[in-house]
Amino acid sequence: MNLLGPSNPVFMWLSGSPVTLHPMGQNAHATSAHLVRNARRRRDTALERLSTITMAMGVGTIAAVGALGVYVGKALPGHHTTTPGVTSNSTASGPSQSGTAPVSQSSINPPSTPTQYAPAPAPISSGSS
Amino acid sequence: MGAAAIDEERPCIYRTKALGTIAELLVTDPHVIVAASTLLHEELERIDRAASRFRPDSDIIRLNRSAGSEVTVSQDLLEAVQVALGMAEATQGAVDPTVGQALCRLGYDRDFADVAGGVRGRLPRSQPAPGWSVVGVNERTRTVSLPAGVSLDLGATAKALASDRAAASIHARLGCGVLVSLGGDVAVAGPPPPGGFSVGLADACTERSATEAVRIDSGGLATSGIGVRQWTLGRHRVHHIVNPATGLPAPTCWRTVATTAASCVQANAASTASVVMGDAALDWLNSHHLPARLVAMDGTVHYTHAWPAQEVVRQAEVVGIR
Repeated sequence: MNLLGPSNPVFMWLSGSPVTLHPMGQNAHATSAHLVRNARRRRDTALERLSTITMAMGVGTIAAVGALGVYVGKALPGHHTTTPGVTSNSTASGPSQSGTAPVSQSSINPPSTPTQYAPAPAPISSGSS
Repeated sequence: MGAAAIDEERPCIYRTKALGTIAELLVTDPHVIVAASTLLHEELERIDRAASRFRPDSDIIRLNRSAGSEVTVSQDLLEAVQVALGMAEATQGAVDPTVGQALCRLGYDRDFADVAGGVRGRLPRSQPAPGWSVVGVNERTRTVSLPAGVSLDLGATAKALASDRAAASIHARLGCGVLVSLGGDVAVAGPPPPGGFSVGLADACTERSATEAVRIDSGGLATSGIGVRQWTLGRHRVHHIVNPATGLPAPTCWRTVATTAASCVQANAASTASVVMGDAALDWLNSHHLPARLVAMDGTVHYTHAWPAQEVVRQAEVVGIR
């Protein structure tokens, strides 16, 4: 039994590190083929790694663009949201007859100018009705 | 149409009765008061025809009677329903248009003048309103659908919407500064008069002796309260601000709540929601940075952080540093 044949590398543990011992008597052709195989393996591994990195970058880019799109869509004025209970098949509500009415309010905001103290009495009163 | 007094120097005010309450119009240019009052009446007619629960030919009567099917409505009612749903969402359902049946169970199924003297009956059992999310609206086909047994009441938003629309419309067409008040739901538009649009804060909108006033230059101011629209139902005293969670008059701790906001619709929704919320209203109003004045049942007045600090202003006026 040839334990050191050309296709049977021997593995030994030396000082805790794995070492490959090549069989004695290898010819130049076998060494060359082995080198080519190793080179191909390294090339394939590198290409595989490159492919994985490219795919990850692609997925990351798509996700970032999507997230940015959602953010911009919400940040810019004029974005459209659908109120629960409202089936909106149009992006704009119909024209008001006066053309000036506030429509589709679904939030409550303070006035754009501060409310200020005024001396009483006032010509108009607000109270329960 | 009521009489309108013309004064060359001062803003001109026009008053009339409408929508079961007082309608007031102030314009900064006295020369356009007649044209402005005509536009106001057009807006009043539009909202009444669209959203009055007590007018047999109104759009909302037809919608409520057709509950269970999809109904094509006027553009005015579509807009009013959308605004009501938006405010229901903004107030987390504290102001909900699906309280129509609850109000009818309380006897408020006819014009208030016929209810004010009292109605027969018993206080109904607690029954939550169906909730605003059951209302379907399709803008493209201009249709609204209500499940069977559901009816809408737009009392918390329609009058304020009319104020917003009237003020915006009059300013757009006539170019002057405008204040419209429909039963105390106040909207302003355009350049304010010298000193701003000044509005007194009273228990009832008909009071002229308010001891406190504020100035607003944009948006709206509204006051909600339970003092005016009250009636007896059998042996019980009830009012018109219904808690959607129970379908019964809100057991509130506030006599009135006045709020200013970006529009009259928003101000009215906030003040009505505050009456419903009770104790929790102050925190809610502060979280929205809304200027508000809340009068408790014992007359104690509470203010939110954004309300103008009147004492400070008065002191500043005394020493002339304003």
